[in-house]
Amino acid sequence: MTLLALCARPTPIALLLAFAVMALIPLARNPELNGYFLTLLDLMLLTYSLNMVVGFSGYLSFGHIVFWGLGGYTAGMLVTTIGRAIAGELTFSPYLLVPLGGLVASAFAAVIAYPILRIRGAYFAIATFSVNLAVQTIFFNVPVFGGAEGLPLKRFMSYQIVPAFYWLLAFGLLAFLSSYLILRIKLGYGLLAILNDEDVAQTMGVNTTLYKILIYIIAAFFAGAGGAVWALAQVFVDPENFGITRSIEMFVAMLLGGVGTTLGPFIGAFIYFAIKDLLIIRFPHLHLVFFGGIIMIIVLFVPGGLVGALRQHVPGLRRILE
Amino acid sequence: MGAILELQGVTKRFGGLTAVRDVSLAVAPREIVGLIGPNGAGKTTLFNLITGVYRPDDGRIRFNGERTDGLSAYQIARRGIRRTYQVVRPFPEMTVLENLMVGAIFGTPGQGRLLPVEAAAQARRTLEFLGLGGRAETLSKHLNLGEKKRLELGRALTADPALLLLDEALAGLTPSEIDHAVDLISRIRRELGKTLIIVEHVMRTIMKISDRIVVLHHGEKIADGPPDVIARDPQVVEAYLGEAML
Repeated sequence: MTLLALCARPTPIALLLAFAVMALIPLARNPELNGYFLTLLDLMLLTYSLNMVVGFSGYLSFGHIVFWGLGGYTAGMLVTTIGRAIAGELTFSPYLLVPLGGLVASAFAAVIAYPILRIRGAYFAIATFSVNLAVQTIFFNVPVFGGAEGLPLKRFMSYQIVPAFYWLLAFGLLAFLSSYLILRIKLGYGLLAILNDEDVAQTMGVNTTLYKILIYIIAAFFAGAGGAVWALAQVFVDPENFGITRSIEMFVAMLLGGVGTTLGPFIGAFIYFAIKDLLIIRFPHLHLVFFGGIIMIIVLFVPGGLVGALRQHVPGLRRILE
Repeated sequence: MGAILELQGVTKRFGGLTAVRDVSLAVAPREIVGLIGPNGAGKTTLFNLITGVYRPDDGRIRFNGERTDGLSAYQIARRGIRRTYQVVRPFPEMTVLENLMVGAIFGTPGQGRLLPVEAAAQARRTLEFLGLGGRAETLSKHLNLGEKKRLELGRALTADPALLLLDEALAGLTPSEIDHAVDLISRIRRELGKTLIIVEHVMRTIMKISDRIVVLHHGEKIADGPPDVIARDPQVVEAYLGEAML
């Protein structure tokens, strides 16, 4: 069965249309609108990445932002290094470096995956969080990486938001398609088995170690690519790119949309932004506090998020929403 | 010697406790072996050793002539051994069909290791065989105990293993469910040509369906023979301390 035949179902068709509509946004030539959707797409891509690990394998990757930060620094370091070598602005689009950000994040994931994925449950969450803190501290203190001041890139490239928007849109679509495909191949079934009961999965012939490492590496690629786009869009990268805020945001978006579904991260990012807009207007400094409460309410009462709740309560939607 | 499974002097210790001591055992192809013994005799530990969940401290395990002690659980599973669990462990958030598909996708060489599309067809055939056809789209956590036990059996069967280990497949079932399960087990051997080792507490049933009974007590094998001989073995009767052996 080809990928094309697999995609002839309501969820992928709806999402392909949604991405096509979003591609029209920059035509409005409204910088504010572009900026708004750039932030939204950035969160969406991160949520797709997080969902591959948390939603597919059940491992709570709490320090997931480390891949995003590494992607950003990869882009930043490449732009400054090349820029200094040619003593001026880059002669090619710096966004061509984005895939390298993803690859560096994947390489880092490959290095830490084997030891870290042996740890289960809450201890895994703590371990990933610690890895993120350790990496952040390194970038904070090593002068080559710009230290606390970070890396300003404006000497070597100009600020261009529209290409950043399209790169994030393309990677968002790719992350959705990858999620959708992964759940339909051997890897997806192995991961679902791990999510449900890892010990049983092993006695059923699932190479659990390999599968966990594979999904960790794939997920890191998308987070890294997103981080690279973000750094180039901001023309700046600093240790705040490993900050905790986005870690919380992507968890909220994932939970709102529906953990483990392929539609969830897309919907979740939109709901998150809608709620955030409402809250920020009234409580500019406290909106994150409310998101703590929202996480608790979702986990207690709607553990499946919007997609999960719809699938559960409207039986006809089970085959449509994936 | 043609044994499909062969254990030689297998020993497993947990700290000061020897859960399985110097157990040797050979199982012939298409044989049904009943494994019995009082609680804590080491039956489930023996299953965990055969399936690679634990590694033996001493002794050797051979499956189809190949050493398997020292391999990981998933490698042993791929060589053609599947099990069910004493306390059922279906994948709770997956449908009955998906549970069985995992079995087929990660099955043994030959009929097993199918692509997901083929696996769904294979899983549906097995569901019909088990009489669970109407439950294909049900989340497995919503099944009753009898259905969950059949689901586990099906999940093992779709992998097309040569050897099936059933850990208390009958415990907790109603009399009619037991009859159904007994019928299934004999059909699994007769129609599918499988070899089975069955741990069971329902004495009357295990004596009836097994070709041979192996008795464990305090981790040691104290008897091994045809059911009618075992039922009269004074050592076995003593181990059960007056439990009716029938």
